[in-house]
Amino acid sequence: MIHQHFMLVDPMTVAENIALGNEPRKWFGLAVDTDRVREEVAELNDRYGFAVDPDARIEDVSVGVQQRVEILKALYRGADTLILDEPTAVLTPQEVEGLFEVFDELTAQGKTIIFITHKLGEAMRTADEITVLRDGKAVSTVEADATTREELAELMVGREVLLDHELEPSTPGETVLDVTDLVATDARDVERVTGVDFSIREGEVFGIAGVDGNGQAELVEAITGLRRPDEGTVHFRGEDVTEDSRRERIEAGMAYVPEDRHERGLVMDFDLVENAILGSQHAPEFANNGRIDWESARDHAEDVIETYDVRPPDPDVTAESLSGGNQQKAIVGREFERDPDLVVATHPPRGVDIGATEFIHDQIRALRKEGRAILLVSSKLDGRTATRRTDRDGRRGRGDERLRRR
Amino acid sequence: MSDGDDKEWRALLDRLQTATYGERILLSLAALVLSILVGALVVLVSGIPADCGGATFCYNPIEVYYELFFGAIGGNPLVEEWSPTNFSMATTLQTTTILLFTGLSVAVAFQAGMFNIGTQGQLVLGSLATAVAVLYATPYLPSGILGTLLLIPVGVVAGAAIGGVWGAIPGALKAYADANEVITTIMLNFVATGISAVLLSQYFQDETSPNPQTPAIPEYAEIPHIPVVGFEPRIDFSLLALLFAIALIGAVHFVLRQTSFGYDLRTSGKQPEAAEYGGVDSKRLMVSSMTLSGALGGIGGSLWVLMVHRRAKERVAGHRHRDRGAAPARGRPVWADHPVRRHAGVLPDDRWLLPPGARADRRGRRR
Repeated sequence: MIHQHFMLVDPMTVAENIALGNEPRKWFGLAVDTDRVREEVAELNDRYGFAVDPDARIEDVSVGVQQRVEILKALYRGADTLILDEPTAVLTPQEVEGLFEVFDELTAQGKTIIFITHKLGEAMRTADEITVLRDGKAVSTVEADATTREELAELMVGREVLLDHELEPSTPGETVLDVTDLVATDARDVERVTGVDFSIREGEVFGIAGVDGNGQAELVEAITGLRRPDEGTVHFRGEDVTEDSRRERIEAGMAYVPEDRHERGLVMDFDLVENAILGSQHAPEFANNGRIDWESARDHAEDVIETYDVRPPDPDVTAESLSGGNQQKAIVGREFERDPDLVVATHPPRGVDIGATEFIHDQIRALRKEGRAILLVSSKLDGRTATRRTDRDGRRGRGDERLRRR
Repeated sequence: MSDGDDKEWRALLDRLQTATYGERILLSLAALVLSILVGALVVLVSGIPADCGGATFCYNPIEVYYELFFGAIGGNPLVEEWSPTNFSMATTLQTTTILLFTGLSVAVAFQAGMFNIGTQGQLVLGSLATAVAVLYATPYLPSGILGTLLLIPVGVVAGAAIGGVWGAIPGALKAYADANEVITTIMLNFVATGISAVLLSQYFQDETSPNPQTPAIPEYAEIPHIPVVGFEPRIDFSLLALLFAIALIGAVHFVLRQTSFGYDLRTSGKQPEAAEYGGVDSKRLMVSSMTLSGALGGIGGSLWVLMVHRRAKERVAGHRHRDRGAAPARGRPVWADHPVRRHAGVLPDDRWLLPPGARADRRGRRR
């Protein structure tokens, strides 16, 4: 089983991680036979054509390599069936292609792969047989060669899905967000955003595409008030908010769907009522003289649950008990319902099924039509997911390059 | 651990997450029973080396627990004449009252994700502040019942204020200098004791006493007894103080659950990053929650003065054996035999205050 979140020990080497819990012993079991581990890893490397350095530390290698280490771990234990849970979610397009080559190599050698994904194209590309699950039931199993994307989408959602939307022409209004010469560093003091400037107007979706980890997180945090920029300014509705706190920005009308829903977007131990007011706990709708109005909080939670189809539809369950997709729906719902002037969203449909993705996209279009400004960050380069929905597209390359305007 | 074991543990933990209140109570009871059994074993084993004329196990655990329990409430109501307002009961409730404040103080900090091990220092300085404030205010205020009504709030507010300031210091150090509050609060306990000793002997010393202590506050400034309930008046316990403590528990619960500040505090305690995302100023919150925590500890100190000692002394808390022992005129101090005193060691001893199994760093545990 290869989990979506890797189960690796960061400061240990690739070989140590692969052997962990299953180490060959020497000296009557007193020591780990590291030479043998390395040999065996090298052998596996050769057989499947993985180019992984057994002595590299996990923290030093890319996510794509880490994933190969996870696969090697399973192979090292003699697995014949590999289960991969959303393995492509964290990979760049090139890495995804590399992973699929690994799949081909493994199946050619007689291994079985169960590949869990919600991306139609990937399933069509790699699978021989596709089983569609919906609401916990296996809906249907089809031959990959004998099906179409449309058919799969219909099976997933239970009704016909329109895969392509045309954007109505937008009529941009006044400038909502204006970022000028923004410079931001990450926690390790590495400059990640180097003099970026762009602006977003009312009724406009501004997309930032590019591989994760190239400054998007720092840029977004500097805009939403979670990170102080080193240089440059952020203007919101004409006012300089560079020095404003996170709370002031929320109150001014910024909504933010964060990248990390477990750490940031939801409080895992809180129920959905409490989570529904995260960020609005001081707002007059939910708090009266410092006292929280739990009744209106509950009403709000129920609204979000109903509108965004959060399952189970019970406001009293904790955020932790929801599946990833439903957590995401709860966050998106809360933020979109904030009545914001600006929505900053990083991977808003991450991990949700195609029906919910469609719904979230519809909501973004509706916000755009209402004249809200939307900043959309996505790591997906193919036109279907990101650029299709954007009016303009600032594509990011390396972190030290400037954001280009198209 | 094999995969199977691992799975079973996980399943068990998941099950625990969804335990109902009834189940939780049963679990607590099970833990209590188990700890009693373990304690019994210790008693039995420690009886082996003792000499009692032939028997292997000299100590009888049942007898020990019997004494421990019925001693604390002042006798067994089933076999002897027993009044709920007896001496031992009062002493037990007195200790309970003070412990409610220290416990509440620790709980508030814990809810905010911090460990306040400095309740002792907050209590020491709170008690001194209370005594000094009451002594200074006395000449300006009327005596009698009006004095009681005015002086007690003066004392409690002074204790809360100084305790709060003393709690705010480690909060600020954590927020602005990244100093771990576990370390700073422990260290500040010693500083508090030192400050209190100097202030007592240099400025607020009772001239008639060889011990470092303030003069006694007027009798009418003590928390009054409720006449009807009738705990023996010579005992330093007032039911009103216990009721006050319980009311404060309700108040703290209200703050944590019903206010925006409490929401900020709990969010920070559970998930600091989510709190930041939700617009909580984490630095300010660290200071304010530690201030609240310290203030509650300080009120504990106030009650120490207003209910128990009538004055501030050096080392009020945690050293009561010595204090009481220094009263030789009364012969063997009665409280030395009080079972809770004897076995539980009484007040803000650090070991008491750390919640079992609590970890300082709750981050990064979820994936």
